[in-house]
Amino acid sequence: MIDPAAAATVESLPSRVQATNLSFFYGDFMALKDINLSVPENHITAMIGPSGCGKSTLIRVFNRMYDLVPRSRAEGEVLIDGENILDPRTDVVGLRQRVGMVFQRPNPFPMSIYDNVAYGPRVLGWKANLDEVVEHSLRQAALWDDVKDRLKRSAMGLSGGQQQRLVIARVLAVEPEVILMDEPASALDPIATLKIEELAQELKKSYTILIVTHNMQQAARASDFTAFLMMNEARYGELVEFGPTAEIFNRPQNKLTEDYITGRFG
Amino acid sequence: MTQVIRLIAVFLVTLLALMVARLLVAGWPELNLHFITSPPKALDAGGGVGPQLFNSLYILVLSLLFTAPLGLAAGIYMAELAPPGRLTSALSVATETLATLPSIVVGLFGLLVFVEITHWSFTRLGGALALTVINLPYAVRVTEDAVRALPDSLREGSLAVGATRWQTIRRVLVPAALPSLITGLILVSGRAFGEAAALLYTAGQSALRGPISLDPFVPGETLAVHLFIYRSDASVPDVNLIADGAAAVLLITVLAFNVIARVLGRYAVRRITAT
Amino acid sequence: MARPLFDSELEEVRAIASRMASLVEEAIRLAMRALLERDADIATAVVEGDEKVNQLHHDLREETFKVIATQAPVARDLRLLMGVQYIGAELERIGDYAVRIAKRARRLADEPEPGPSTLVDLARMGELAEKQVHDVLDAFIRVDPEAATRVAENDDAIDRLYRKTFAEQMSALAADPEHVLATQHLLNVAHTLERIGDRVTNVAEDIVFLDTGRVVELD
Repeated sequence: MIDPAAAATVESLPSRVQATNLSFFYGDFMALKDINLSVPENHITAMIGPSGCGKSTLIRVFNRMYDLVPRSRAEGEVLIDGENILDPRTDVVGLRQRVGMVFQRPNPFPMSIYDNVAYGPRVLGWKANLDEVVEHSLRQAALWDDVKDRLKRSAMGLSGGQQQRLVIARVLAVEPEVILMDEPASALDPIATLKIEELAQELKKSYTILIVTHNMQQAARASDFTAFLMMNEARYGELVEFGPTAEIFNRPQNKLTEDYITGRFG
Repeated sequence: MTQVIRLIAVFLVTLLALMVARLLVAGWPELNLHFITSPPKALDAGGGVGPQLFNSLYILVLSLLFTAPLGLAAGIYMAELAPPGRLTSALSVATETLATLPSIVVGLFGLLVFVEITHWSFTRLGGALALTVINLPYAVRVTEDAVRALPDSLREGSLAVGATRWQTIRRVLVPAALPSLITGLILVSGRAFGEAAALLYTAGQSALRGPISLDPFVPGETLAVHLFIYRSDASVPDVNLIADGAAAVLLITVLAFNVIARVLGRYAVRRITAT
Repeated sequence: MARPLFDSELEEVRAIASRMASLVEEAIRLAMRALLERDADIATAVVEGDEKVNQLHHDLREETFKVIATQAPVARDLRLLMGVQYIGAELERIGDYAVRIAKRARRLADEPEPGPSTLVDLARMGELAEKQVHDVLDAFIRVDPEAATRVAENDDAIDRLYRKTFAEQMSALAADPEHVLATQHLLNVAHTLERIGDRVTNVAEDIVFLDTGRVVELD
C-alpha cells in the first residue's frame, strides 16, 4: 500500500533505476517477489527491513553482483538508462562501471592508496591522466587532505572510516551514475558513520545513491526516500512501503512499516 | 596444562638445537671453500662436494620452474574457477593422493617415465621432473588454500568497479595471497633440497667433474643423494668426515635458501602491496 | 520484538496526562459550584488545587523529554509524545481558567445576588464545558479520533450559549444598573467557559494528530 501523495512525489522525479515485477531466486527459493520500485535520480534512497528481507539481494540485482551466486536468477525487468540490465546479453562489466558498489566492511585492496583508486580506470583500460583521476576521486570522497602526503603508502594502514572513504573514491574513479551502498557504516564508529552520511549528502548532487541499512536512525537522517522490505508469510521478500523518508518515519501508511520502525516488529 | 605444553616446546627446541649443533660441530673441519668447490675423490681422502652442491641448486631451480607456474595455475583454478561438482572434487582427491605417495615410489615412476621411456637415461631434467611430481600437489594445495582464504570482499570490490574475473585474480587476489604463496614455495623448496629417494634413479648417482655445465641432459647427483650413497657404500678413508661435512653444508644451504627467499619475498610483497 | 520498558514509559506519560485531565474536569465542576452556590471556601480549594495540575504538567514534560532522549521514538510513538506535550499545555491552561472562574466566584460572593434567571444559561455552559473535558479525556484514553472530532463539533453548543448569555447579561444590565459589578464577573466567567471550549477543541485536534499524523483544524 503506497500513499498516493508520497507516490506522486516519487513519480514526479526522474527515475534512475526502475524495477518492474522483479522477482529473484536462489535455486528454487524465491528471495524477492514482484518488486516495483522507481529509484529517483540524484537522491538518496534507503532500503530498510528485517534481516533476510532481501534488501541486500535487491541492490545486488542492480549491478548483477548476484551473478557470483550459482543457480541464482532474476525475473522481471530492471531498467537503467532505458536498458533492461537483466537481459543475459547485458555487458556486466560496463554495467558495474555505471553502477558502483560499496560494501559492509571496508575492502581496500592490499596495495597503495594511489593504486587502489587507480585500480578501476586501469582495469577498464582508460587512458586518462591517472594522477588527476586519483586526486579528483579522493577529493570527492573527502579523503584527499588525509592522504595526499602518503599516496604511495599501503591502504591497509588507514582507519576504518578512511578505508571506507577510500573504497568510495575507488568507485568514484570509474565515474559511475549510481552508487549502491550495502550497510556502508555498519563496521564504523559513530563519528566515521556520520562522515560517511555527510559524504553521501554531498555525492547525491552528482550521483544516485541507494543505501541498505539496518540502522533506522541512519535511514531517517541520511536518506530522502525510504523503501521498507519484509518477508511475507511465504518468506518472499516484498516491498511493503516506499515513500519520502519524512513520511515513512512520521506517518507510515502500513501497519508493518510502523511496527518495524517503532521497534515492535514481530 | 600450560606448564606441560611449555615443557614440550622447550624439549623440541632443545632437540633441534642439539641436532644442528651436532651436525655443525662434526662437519666443521669441512666447512671451507675447498670442500664446497672440489669434486669428490674415488679412493683417497680430501675430496669435496662441489658438483653435488651445484646439482642440488640446479635441480631445485629447474623443478621450481615447473612447480611454481603449474602449482599456481592449478591452485587458482581449484580455488576460483573450478565449478563445484564431481569433477572438481575428483581433482581434489587426486591431488591429495598424489601428495601422500612415498617419494621412493615417485622415484621408481620417474625411472620408468623420465629415464626409460624417454631414453634420456639419468638426467638433471629427469630429477627435476620427479621433484615436480612430488611437490606439485603441495604447491596446488598451498595456492588453493591461500586464495580461498582471501575474503570475498576483495573479489566483490574488484568486480564492482568493472574488473573481469581474470583481472581480479591477477591484479588483486594473487598479490593479496603473495605472502602465503611465498611461504608455501619456501617450504616446498626445503623439502626438495632434502629429497634423495626420488632422485636416486632419476637424476642418477654420478656428477660431472669438469667445469660447470648447465646442460639439463646430464646426470646430476645431488648433495642429499651423495650423502646417502657415501653413508651406505663408499671406499674413501675419510668417509665419516665427508658425510658430516656434506650434512652440514646441506643444512646451511637450506637455511641460507630460506633466509634469502624470505627476504626476496618480503621485498616483492612490499613492492606490490606497499605495506 | 516488543519493547516492554519503552511501552511502560509511554503508558506512564499517558497516565500523567489522564490524571491532569481528571483534575481539570473536577476543577471546573467545583469552580462552577462555588460560583452558583456563592461558596468562597470551595473557590479557594479550587485555586489551591491548581498547584497539583501544574506539578503534573511539570512531571509530564520531564517524563516526555526523558523518553524522547533515551528511546529515539519515531512515527506513532513520537506522535504520542509530541501530542501529549501539546495536550498537557492545553490542560494546564484549562486549569488556569478554572482558577479564574473560582476567583470570580469568590468576589461574586461579596456582591448582591443576581436574579436566578441570569444564572441558568451560565450553569448550563459550565456543565457543557465540564462534559467537553470529560469527553475529550475519554477520546484520549481510547485514542479515538472520531470521538475527538465529535467533541470538537459539540463546541458549537457552548459558543451559542455564550452569545445568548452575553446578550441576556447585557439586557439585564440595562434593566438593572445596580448589578454592574456582578454582571461584569458573570460575563467574564462566560467568556472563560467559552475559552475552555476552544482549548478542548485544540486537545481534540491533538488526539487526531497523535493517532493519524494529520494536523487538522476542528472548528
